[in-house]
Amino acid sequence: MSKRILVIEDQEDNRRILRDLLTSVGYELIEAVTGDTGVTMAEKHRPDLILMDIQLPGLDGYEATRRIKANPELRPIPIIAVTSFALSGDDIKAYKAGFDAYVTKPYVPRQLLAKIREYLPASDS
Amino acid sequence: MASLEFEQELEKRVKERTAELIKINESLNRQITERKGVDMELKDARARLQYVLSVTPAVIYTNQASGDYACTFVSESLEHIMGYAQKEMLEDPDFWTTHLHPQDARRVLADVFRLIGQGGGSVEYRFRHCDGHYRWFQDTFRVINDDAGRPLEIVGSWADITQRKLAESFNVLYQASLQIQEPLGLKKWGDDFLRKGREVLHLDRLNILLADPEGKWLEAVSSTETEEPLGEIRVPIGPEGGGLAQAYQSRQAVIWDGQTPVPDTLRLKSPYDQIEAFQSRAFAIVPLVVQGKSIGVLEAGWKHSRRPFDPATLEPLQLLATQAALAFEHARLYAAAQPVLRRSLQLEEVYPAFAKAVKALLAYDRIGVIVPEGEKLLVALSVAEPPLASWQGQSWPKTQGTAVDWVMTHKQPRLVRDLSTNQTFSDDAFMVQEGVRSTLVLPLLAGGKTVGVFFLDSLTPGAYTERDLDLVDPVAQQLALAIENAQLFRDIEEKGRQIEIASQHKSQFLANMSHELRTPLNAILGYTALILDNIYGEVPEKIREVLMRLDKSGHHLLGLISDVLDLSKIEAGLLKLNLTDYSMKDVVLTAVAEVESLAAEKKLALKVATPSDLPRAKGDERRITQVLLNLVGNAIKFTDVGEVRVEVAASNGAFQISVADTGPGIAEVDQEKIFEEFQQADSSNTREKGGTGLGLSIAKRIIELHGGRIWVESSLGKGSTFRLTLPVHVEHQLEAK
Repeated sequence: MSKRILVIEDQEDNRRILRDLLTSVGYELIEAVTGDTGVTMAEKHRPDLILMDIQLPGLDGYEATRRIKANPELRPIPIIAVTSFALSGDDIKAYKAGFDAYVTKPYVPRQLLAKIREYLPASDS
Repeated sequence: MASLEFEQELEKRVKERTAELIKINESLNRQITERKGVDMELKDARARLQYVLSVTPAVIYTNQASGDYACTFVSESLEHIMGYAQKEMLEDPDFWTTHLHPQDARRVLADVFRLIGQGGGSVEYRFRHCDGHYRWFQDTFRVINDDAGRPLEIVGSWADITQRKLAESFNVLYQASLQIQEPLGLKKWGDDFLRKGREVLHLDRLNILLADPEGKWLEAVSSTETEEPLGEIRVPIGPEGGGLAQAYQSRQAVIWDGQTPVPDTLRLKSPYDQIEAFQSRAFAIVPLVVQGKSIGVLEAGWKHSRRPFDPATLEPLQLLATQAALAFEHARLYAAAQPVLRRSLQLEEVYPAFAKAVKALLAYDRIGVIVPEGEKLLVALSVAEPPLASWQGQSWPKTQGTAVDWVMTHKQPRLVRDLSTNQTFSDDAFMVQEGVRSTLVLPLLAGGKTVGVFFLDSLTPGAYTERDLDLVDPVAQQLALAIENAQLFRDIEEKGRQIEIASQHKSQFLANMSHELRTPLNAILGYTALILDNIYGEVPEKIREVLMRLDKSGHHLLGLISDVLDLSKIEAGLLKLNLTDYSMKDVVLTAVAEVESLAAEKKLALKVATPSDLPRAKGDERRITQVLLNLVGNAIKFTDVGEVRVEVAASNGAFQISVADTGPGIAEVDQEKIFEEFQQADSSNTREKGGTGLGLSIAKRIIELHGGRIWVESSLGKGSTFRLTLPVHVEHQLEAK
């Protein structure tokens, strides 16, 4: 069974790039456009990993992550921030909110893939 | 019949004769009577004149109008005014000239001869009293001519104007006393003041001793430079202090006439008895009292013991003491209030200091400071004695027709001696109801601007005079400055807050900018990468080539965005170094590892020399890595053949780092420029070699924020060596230049 990744991202283009990239290597993708639906989908679908944008309508990525990490059943799910917040200090803020990793946009797709594989060893996919 | 006729004839003649005689007698009697009346009148007039001459404060005299100008008459008043007998002057033709004050003689003789030529006039000079002291006289005279117009004699009078001169001098002293504003000038002022006082009072010695703050010692602060100035002397306030301490403690003048040895109680006791004159000669010690409190003493002395103490001197001495006391107290309070008034930007501290300073100068039942605040007037300070109410903290609308409004608008003080009979302004009646009788309102002016008003109210009519205006004015002006300073400070604080908010806005703007630029760039670079990875199918070689260029340009744009943001942050002072412990060796190796492949591609030798014993360092590791990466990256970028060599050493608490290449080198004219924004030695290189042209500029600023320095040594054709020094331990970020 392929690994399921939840992408929480409000921008259509960025969602599509992730979809095209990740499905091309065999991941199953579920998508949310807002923080709120992202949290709901995490609870409902129990993904193996979450890619989370930070600037989102409604609940932002920090808060959504906090909520997911506050749920003991969801806590083990790795959450990678994929964000345009790339200024110094932004990374620290992300780790404080509970993100497991932090990747800035624009990312090199192969490097993002490598980061994902750190959390989802290739043998499992 | 003949005999009868004869008898009748005789009888007739006798009658006639008798009548004649009676007539003559009557005439004679009349004459005698008349004569008697004249005599009486003469006698009266002389007596009256005598009386007038003896009681007049003037000396009347006549002089010859030529020759030796000898005195021909002088009134008896000479004796009790000057202490000389009339004949002393009448018998000595040089009496007048030899008794003139030596300092006045030349001027007076010249003036007198000039005035005689003009028929008379008036001249002022000092004349020696028989006890040796000088008094001031106004000499007014006229030249009397004979019928032929020749000068016959000079008639004149001397009026004793010593009191007037004293008053004038005191006015000078008083004005001088208002001028001392700082403690540094106090000594000089004191000396000037005493010198004037000594001249006016014909003293040989005049000293001021002030009590120390603990009230244990009297210390000489000023003395006239003549005989035996007290200098550094200080005298204990107690029995050893003799008359000095006694006057201070009793607040009563202590006088010794110098006719007999000074009694033991007034003598200074050993070891304070070094003031010899004080032990034997005439002296007067007057306490310096301000509002019933002793602050020191004024000591006056006479050189010649033969000259008895003149009780008339005591009054002006008291005046002098009052003036000096006030001036010194004024200066002391001023000095004490000064630091608070001048330095404090906290008006809560300034107002009490001000109220205290004024309290020592003038009595009041209520004091207040009113400052405008927007459209209202705020009573910023008010201290009141019952039954008057303090207005502290009250706020009133600005109202025309009030005394405060008038003073603020006209920038003039208002002084009312009795409000019950002088009610000009709308609020006067209320004040009278409260019981206020006299009031003083002063504008607080700073730089020509009214920053507020200050008022004193008293239940006593006539509590304040014009002189009091001068007295409190300097303190009031200090307060005005303090208020202005505080307001300026508040304005600056407000500006600072606004700048901080603006800077937060700027920071937020930069963050948004970064975010908004990166998001579409992610789509561009993301799709490009996916296409290049054949995710959307095999890409024809021709399109691949174009996509590679698209990818390169996209990454260049990303580099530009990062650099511009970095630079903007530095410029805005927003770049905060994250100072942590780091290893310089690791930093160098990290930077080198990043560009190793680039060097290998160009077949360049990349050599690194770091000693193994580099000290642990403190600084912003990420930023320092960024700088090194930039330097090594540049060196590789611009070098086509040869090597790039990185060397690190540490000495004197600083790292010396060099990045040397065998590239084309940089002309001397360009060596400064390359550290400026958007400057590369040859701008045509930018596109070819990549880089934004901001890297070195950012590197320079990062190194400077660490307190280090970066420069280049190069010449065309001989390669370049970028050098930097960086403190090993950076504890504080420096200001961006």
